[in-house]
Amino acid sequence: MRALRRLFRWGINPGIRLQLLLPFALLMTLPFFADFWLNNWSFMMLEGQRHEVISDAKYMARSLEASESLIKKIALRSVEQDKPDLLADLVDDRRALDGRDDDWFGVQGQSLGVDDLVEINRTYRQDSFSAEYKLGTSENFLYLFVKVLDDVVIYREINNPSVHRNDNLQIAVVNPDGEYRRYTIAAFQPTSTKAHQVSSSGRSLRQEELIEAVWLGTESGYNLELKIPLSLVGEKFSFVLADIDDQKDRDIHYLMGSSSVDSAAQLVNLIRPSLGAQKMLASLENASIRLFDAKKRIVSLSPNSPENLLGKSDHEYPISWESGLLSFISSDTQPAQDAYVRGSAVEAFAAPTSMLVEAALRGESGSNVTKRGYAFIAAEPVLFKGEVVGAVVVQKSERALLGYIERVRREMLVQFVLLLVLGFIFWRVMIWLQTSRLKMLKNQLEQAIDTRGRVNDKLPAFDMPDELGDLARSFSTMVEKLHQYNQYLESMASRLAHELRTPVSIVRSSLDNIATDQLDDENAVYVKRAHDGLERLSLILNNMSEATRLEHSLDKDDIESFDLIELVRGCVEGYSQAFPTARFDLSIEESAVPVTGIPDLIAQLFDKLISNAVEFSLPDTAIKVRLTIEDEVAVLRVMNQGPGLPENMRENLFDSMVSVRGRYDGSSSHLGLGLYIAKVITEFHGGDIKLSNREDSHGVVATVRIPLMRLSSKLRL
Amino acid sequence: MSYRVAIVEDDEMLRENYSDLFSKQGYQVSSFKDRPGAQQVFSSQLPDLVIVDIGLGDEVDGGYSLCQWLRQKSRTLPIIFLSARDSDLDIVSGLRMGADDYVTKDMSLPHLVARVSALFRRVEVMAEPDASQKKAIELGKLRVDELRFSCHWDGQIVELTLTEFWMVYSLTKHPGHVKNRQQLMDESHIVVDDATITSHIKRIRKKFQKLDSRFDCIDTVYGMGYRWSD
Repeated sequence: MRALRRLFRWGINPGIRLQLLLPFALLMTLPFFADFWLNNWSFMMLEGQRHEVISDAKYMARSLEASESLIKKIALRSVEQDKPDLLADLVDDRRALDGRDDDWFGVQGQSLGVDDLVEINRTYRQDSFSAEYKLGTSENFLYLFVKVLDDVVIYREINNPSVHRNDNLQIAVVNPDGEYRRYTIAAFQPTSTKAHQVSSSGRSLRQEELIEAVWLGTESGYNLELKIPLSLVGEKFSFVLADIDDQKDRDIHYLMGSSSVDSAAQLVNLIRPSLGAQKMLASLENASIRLFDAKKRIVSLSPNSPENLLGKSDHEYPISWESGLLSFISSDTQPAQDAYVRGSAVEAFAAPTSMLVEAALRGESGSNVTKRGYAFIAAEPVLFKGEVVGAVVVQKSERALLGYIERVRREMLVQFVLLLVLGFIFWRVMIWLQTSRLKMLKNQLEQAIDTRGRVNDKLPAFDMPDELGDLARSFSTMVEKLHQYNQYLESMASRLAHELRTPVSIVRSSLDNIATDQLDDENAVYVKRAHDGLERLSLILNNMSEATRLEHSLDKDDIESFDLIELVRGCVEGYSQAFPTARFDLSIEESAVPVTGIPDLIAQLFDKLISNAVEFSLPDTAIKVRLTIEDEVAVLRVMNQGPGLPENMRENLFDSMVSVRGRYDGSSSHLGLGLYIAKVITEFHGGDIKLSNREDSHGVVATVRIPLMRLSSKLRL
Repeated sequence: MSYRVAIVEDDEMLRENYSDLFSKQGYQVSSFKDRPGAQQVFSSQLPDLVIVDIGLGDEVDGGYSLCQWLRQKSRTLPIIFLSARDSDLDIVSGLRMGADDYVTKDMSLPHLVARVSALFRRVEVMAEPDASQKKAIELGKLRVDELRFSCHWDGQIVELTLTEFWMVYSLTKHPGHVKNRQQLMDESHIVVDDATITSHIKRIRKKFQKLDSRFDCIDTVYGMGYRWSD
């Protein structure tokens, strides 16, 4: 309260609205605090997730090390090779063996050209022979698709037992038992066919039923699709395509493929995704895990690693906030796909990943945030007999979490905005309610006491149970008491007059009783004086109750329409007789001044004005009476020459019991009721009255304005 | 024989003064200080005239009840209200109770005596009907009988109180002449303010208008007074 008062003293005047807004404004800072805590919380959440990723990587590396068969396989890959390895993509078995590659989703073809020629017997011409292959593996089968562009396709001769004197595909493997095997696929015509196991010299030994193949002739050559059970295939693998273009001599022009198939030593490594490791990697959900060998080649991928998700369409992995915004991750790791398929190193990965893998292969574990900051990566070296044979990279998208945090932030913002808007509306309504109640109270209070300070009416009691209601009720009680007191005061004059009347009659009747007796002259004078005094007292008593009686006699039944001119003229004539010493100067410029009201009362009002004017006039001066119509209002002016009005009393001259008469005038008695009566009468007629000093000379002008007949609707009827 | 005047007034000094006054005038006076006392005596014998105060001791309207009670006993008994109350409402109620006149307490005693004797004269005149002829004023439809204190309009009697009668009488004595309020007061033997005169005139007009709705013989001359015109 004191602070508020000090504010007021400084000239700052916050309205009640502003004062109530202050706490609301404090509420507005709440979102900032909430944002601060949300930031702290999200930081902690991210920290937690990163720790989890690091420990996942360590866990995965230790798990791999613990599995002897897996770690041996990985170690094996680290052995140096001259020839580039053959990489098989992971595919599933739900594919038609039909010589077409339209169901090889996501597997990229590798082209064979001049660099891949294994044996050349003619000058190599690109337009004569070239090919493209795709290599895939599922859990149980190895798939090979070859698309050959050949100007002349030579099929097998019906009666020729040799399978090599025609266009063919030769494959060689070291099977899981460590034995070298060779197979040749040739066809009499484009159809499904079987592979022939052949000896190292190229003689057909038998037909291998387990290897299925489909030969499909095309406009530019032929397609070959192969399905080989993994029971026949070990770690080493190679294939060559033989091109024979002359129907007659059937010589081999070119051999083109991954490497020579002639001996086991010439075969290349077949790198298949490690399904054992894969299963292990898949055991961790919500994280993408990649296992690299010492040559930074991917050994295995978890099912939800970015590379694995690439080939799948969106509807297979519906985008929800949990699964994160995969397309972003994909674009982040797009180069990894190519790198993996081509069998080249990890360089093409995003820089952080690549650096982490290199560091891990040096034996250092590390972690980092991806370039765009949407994922967290941790790398851990995998050891076999103290040597680093690989690295586990665990990547977890932070998008989900960040998205979740963003969502929480957004929802919080929306909720806060809603809360503030609702709060503001509620606050406005409450303020409006309370201030309008205050205003209502203020207006009622203002109306309760009129300009003259009279208490007009009781306040309607508020039936609100709160403090404002209490205040209103206090005011109501106060005004009511004031009203009663005021009424008591107002009726005081007439009550006093009434009460005094009986004692006056006693005096009068006593005097009358004396008067009837015979008195000597001396005593008769005193009795006469007593009579005169009584007479004056009676007059005073009458005057005192006049105002009250006037208010009672404002009877609307007596209202009539009449011409003010007639009344004024008659009255002035009467005044000339009543005040023989005074001079009246009447000027009426209108022909008719019709008004509605009670003519007797108007005459009474006029009497009061004239008697005042006469009383305050200087001797031998005329009292001017003017009647005009100004703006549809009848204006009656009574002007005299004499002393002006005292400045400080001009406002309350019309109140009862106020008089400017400074000295006691023995000839008449005044209670200051005359102008009060004049005012009551004027207001009853819907007009107004004022007294002012004359501007042209010393004196007072009384102006009464009464609406003309057609405008007299304001009349209090 | 002397008339018996009864005064019912709760103020002792005033009662004594009035008693003395009327005794000196030669009336037989009996005075009472409250309604039950007066009623007790009046029930056995009625006086010739009763002067009643309205407020009697504890009974604020005791005078009114006494007046009604008396009027039931006698239709012709002259009753005068003597009261400190001077509002129109009081006067009208008093006269409606059946009183013949209503005077305020500040009226001088000679005036009161005049009123009382006027009432007695009316009683006397009513007792001998043929003595009234020559004192009557006749103006068109109006006939004012000074002796009987009666007023007729177009042959019908106008029920006027004494005060009202005197006002009409004063106006019609010199028809066409303007009587100002002071003159009317003097001739009606009352001391009241202008507003009361105005209300008396209003009541007189209404009484005539009751008999003849086109009655407009009493002119208001603003600022001066009233005038009887045909």
